[in-house]
Amino acid sequence: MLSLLIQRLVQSVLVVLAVGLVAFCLFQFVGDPINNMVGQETTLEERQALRDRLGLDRPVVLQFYQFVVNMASGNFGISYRLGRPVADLISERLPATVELAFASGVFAFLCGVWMGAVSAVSPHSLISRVFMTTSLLGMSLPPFFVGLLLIMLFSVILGWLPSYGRGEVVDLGFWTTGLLTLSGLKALILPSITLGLFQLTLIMRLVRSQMFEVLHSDYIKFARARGLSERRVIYRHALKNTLVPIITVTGLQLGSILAFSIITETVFQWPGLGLLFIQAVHFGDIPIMAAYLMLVSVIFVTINFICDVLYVLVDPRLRVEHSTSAAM
Amino acid sequence: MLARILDSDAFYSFRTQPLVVVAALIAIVSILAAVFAPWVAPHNPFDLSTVDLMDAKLPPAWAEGGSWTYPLGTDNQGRDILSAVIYGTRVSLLVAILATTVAMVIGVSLGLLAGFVGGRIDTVLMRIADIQLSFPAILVALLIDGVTRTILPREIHHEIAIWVIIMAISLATWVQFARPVRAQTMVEKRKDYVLAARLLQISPTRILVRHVLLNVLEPVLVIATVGFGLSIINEATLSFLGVGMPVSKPSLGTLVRNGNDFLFSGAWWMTIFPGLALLLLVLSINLIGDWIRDVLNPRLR
Amino acid sequence: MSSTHVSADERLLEVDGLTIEFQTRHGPLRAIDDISFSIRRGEVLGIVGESGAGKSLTGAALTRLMPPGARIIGGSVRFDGRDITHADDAEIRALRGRHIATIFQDPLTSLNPLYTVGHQLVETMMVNRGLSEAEARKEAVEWLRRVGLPAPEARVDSYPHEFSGGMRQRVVIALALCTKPKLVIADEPTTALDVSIQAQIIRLLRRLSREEKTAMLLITHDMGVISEITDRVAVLYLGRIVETGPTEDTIKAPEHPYTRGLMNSIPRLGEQPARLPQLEGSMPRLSASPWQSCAFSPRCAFAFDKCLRSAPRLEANGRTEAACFLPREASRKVSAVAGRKEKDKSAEVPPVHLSVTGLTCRFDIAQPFLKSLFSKEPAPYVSAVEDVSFHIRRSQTFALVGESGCGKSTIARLVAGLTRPTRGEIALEGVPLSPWRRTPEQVAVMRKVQMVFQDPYSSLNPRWNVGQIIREPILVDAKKERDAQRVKDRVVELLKQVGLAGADSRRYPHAFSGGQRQRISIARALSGEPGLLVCDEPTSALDVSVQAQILNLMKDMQRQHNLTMLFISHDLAVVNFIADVVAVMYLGRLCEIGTPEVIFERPLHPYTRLLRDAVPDLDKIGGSQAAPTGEVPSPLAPPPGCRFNTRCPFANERCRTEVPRMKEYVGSWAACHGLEEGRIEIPSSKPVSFPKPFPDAVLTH
Repeated sequence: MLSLLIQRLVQSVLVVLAVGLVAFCLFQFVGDPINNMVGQETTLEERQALRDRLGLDRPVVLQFYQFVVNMASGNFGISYRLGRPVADLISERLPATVELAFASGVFAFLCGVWMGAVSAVSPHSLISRVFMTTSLLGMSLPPFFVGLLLIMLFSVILGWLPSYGRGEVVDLGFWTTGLLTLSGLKALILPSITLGLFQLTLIMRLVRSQMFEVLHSDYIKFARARGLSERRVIYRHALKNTLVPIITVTGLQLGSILAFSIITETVFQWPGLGLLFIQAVHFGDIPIMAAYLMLVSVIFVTINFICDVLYVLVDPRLRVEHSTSAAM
Repeated sequence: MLARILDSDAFYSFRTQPLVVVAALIAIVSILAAVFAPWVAPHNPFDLSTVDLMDAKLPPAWAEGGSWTYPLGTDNQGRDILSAVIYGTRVSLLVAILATTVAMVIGVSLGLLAGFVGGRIDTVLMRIADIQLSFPAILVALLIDGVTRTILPREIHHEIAIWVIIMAISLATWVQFARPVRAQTMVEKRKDYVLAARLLQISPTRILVRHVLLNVLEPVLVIATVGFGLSIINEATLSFLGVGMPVSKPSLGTLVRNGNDFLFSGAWWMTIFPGLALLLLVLSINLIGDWIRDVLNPRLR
Repeated sequence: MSSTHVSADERLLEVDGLTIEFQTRHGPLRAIDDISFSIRRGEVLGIVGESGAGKSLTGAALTRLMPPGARIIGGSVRFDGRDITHADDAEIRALRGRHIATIFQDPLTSLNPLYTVGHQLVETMMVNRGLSEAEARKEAVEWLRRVGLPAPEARVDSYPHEFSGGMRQRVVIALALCTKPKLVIADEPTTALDVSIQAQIIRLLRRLSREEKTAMLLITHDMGVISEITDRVAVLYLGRIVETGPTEDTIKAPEHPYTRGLMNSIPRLGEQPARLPQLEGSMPRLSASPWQSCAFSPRCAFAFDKCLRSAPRLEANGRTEAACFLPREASRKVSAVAGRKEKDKSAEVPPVHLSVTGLTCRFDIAQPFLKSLFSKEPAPYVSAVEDVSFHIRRSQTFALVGESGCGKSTIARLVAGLTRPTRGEIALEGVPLSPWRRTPEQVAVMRKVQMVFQDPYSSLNPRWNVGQIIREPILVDAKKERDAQRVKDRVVELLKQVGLAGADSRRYPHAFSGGQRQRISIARALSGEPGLLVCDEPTSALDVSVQAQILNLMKDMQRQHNLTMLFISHDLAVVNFIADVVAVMYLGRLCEIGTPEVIFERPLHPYTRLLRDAVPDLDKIGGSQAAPTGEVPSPLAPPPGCRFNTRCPFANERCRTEVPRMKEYVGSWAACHGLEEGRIEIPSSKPVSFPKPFPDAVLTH
């Protein structure tokens, strides 16, 4: 078991390095960074001096090494568009995205598991059909359209909730939070529903199909044959067996919430990392693009790793390396 | 032959679910409208000679100020929304079909290869797939698009935008085909009929193509339908974010993006109608996909 | 109608006229029609039938665990005096576990993999008997001990995947009996297990049910199991009981033509008929079932017009009750057509067709990458086949027999060229197959090896029609026939030879039953004009009545096409019928080789004796032999020396260190130190001439 985890760890580091390579290539080959950074009037000598200072003439491998060191120590360079250190920009915007991701993730997971479980246990009931319809709609609605519709309904027509921005935020020094003000919470509602809806659909479908399989398995049949109550069968046996494989997938989903936040933040003008990234793409702001890539890959890889650990902890079959039983 | 189809379980399942029938109809109508757009659409919104700025921002026909010349209203340049939606559907469908097909070809081939040959090739391919699965399609597509946008001058980028998007989406979604095909190939590989074929001392390629391929295609159909719907959404999302189809050749997503700016000033029809078209399209495809999956899955009957 | 000479309060379970239907879109499908039976307290009733007869459905109906869509539409079920036919869910749930326990077939999937064995036991007892957790835990350990699990205190906290199949089934039995139910329904409890383990489990069930005075409903397709532990038996055919009565009478003197045909077609040790008497056709699927007539009439040799017009009911007919219109005397007149197997009179020894020398096959276990880098131990491997040598002569049927994991299937694959050996040589028609360079000579000779596989459902490509499947071997060989018409004719001819129709070539595999699919497999194997036919458990997945047909067919085909056969099986009786030479394998090594008459009548090697004792003897009802002991060790860590030493009552120090060599004793060959040293008695018998079954090189090392 330990060797398996170490293997995964090594792979994770390799993945991050691979992504770093892609990011590095962005820097190297996409446009001339010098030209992007300075104005028209800069003379050739000044450009050359800058090139020297930034080490752009050194061998590629050394530059890559420098790049990796920079990234690891949090030095992401300077934004072409805004002229400020990327690291600052990221730390400013991070809380907004994290709070949004967290709120929508919790919403998606709790509702998804509940709805999926209910529709698996009683697939022909009315409530189950309502859930299945919701899931179908959730899968068919493009996330941005959900946002637009919600804005139309709750902001334009009803005027209950704000349609853009984060509301009032409280500055805690290293973190700004919108959770402590009423306007902040109100501003959080529509974006988190938008972001969470697609994930909810996927989780619900997964839980439903997985649980369906479990409910028809032999050990559930045997549990019933042993006289265990239906309640016990569902909660103590079926649900537990369902959630084990769900963990990995949900973990991956949590990761993709970060990517989908790009859309939601665009629709609601939410000042987070996603909006920063899309603006960078429009402008061709390589440092921000590269930094976002690295950040996202590190987060994904970490989440993956945590899921692997959880999986091993929960499923006893994975704890034995070689089955020494005489099972043949 | 016809009698066999009409009597089959599949058709029975089809005709007893009115929703699926409706979905199929919507899908067929959309496809036909898209294919025959130049004849079906009442106006050509890209022929600048027919567009009159004076007709800008007209509401739909049933609202006050609208007229039946422009049944769903016009946009801020005077273009007919209905025609724009029809042409937009055409673009959306084209991109999605091509992207799904490319992804399917790449995914199925690599999946077969990885599953049948195994060993190093399999490990390498699956690692790449793992990594790629961590990054959602949107991000991959954004990246590719962002890069090409920076490298190429603006006009060329607009010309080949459609191919960039197709490539971006298929590179992001081939994995969804490869994994199940690989899994199914590994199952079929061990089956006795494959062993029987191996006894004949024929080449592995021949076994793969003539025996295994036919038996792994079943899940592909379901995935292709789901993937098709997802491709439409992905393309629309990219266009909405401004990194997809340009305004000169808009897809439904581009139309939504354009209309978004006018949502608050009251001209809701410019964004809602393209969005609804998108919704109906994907909804019907998903319904059909669900039906296919139920038909092919013996246990859910 | 159930017998009325038993007083009402002795009957624990009374089923009367039970009828069950399935709802399908084509209309209702009747699966069980008007069956009646009863079980007394402490009695063991067996329900026997082939697959599709409805036995599992009957058992499931009692506790309402039927598959979705099934509904009881008639008849009644009384348990312990109460009518539970229309009981609601709560009542049924109260019965399950506490009063009626169920044991299912597959012990691996019956246990929840995420909970320990102890947890599942404790939970069951707490819920059903209201025990406290501490009390339940103590009893859990006791139960594990009672079902024969070694070191129960330690094992109670193990997870299901840490046990072997036989031990898992013991756990399942413990789970069923720990609630002290009045009735246990055992649905094919031993089918998924090895022969020697089967015997242990069956005897365990018998002992425990007697100790606890629990009644048992044993559902199985295996007559041997029935003969071992049941008191009475009911024979099910297509949803109806065709015969019922005390086990001994039903087995020894069956009245119904189906039961008689079934009993006659089961191969037995001790007899060597030329052909097995077979029932024609196979049990049809439900939808074609005629309910207004006798369900068995299409296959019955004695059917007359009354059988087609109305359905017979169970009538007392001597010691058993049979549902048949035939008068007793008429059906008795027909006895099994035997005819002894002809002994090969020629003194000539046929030439060697296949020669295997020192064959070893080891499979490496994939190591995690880092471990392989840093660990100094050699990589672990599964020793599937170790130093096996034998000859097969032309037109001979050579059988490899043993339990799962003994390596017989691996040898089949090695001979067929589907797997590479780690060491050793294989020579086919004198052409050595190693080194594997695939020279044209090697390829030509290997094409002459064809195989028939165990699973009829995965051995035919579901997307090809029968004609395509059969002609592929013909088309592959460049020298063979290219003329389309001649190919088609050959396909039709082969289909007819295996007992199918020419028109079947246009149909697809899913339209055929298991037995028919095996016929298609045989036709495919024959179409390549093979010299050597490798058969890997070809009848193990088939119903008993179909098995006899296929075995007879294979014998006929062998004679007709002059084939050499390598026949793999775990079933001693089948091997006894079909083989000329038998080799017994255990954990990758050969134990004994000889002719079936000799080996099964007076087995030499202790393992062969154990195997032979584990086979239920249908003539000895209520089997009293001592149960074979122990579990099969893992091939990952086989015992050193003689691999059987862990289970052998005669093992000494030498057995634990030195690998025994093959030696000849009174006409057969065995590898055993005990025999060599004279510690084990060699049964006396008339001398048998048996040509040496392996290459000379083998003996001189």
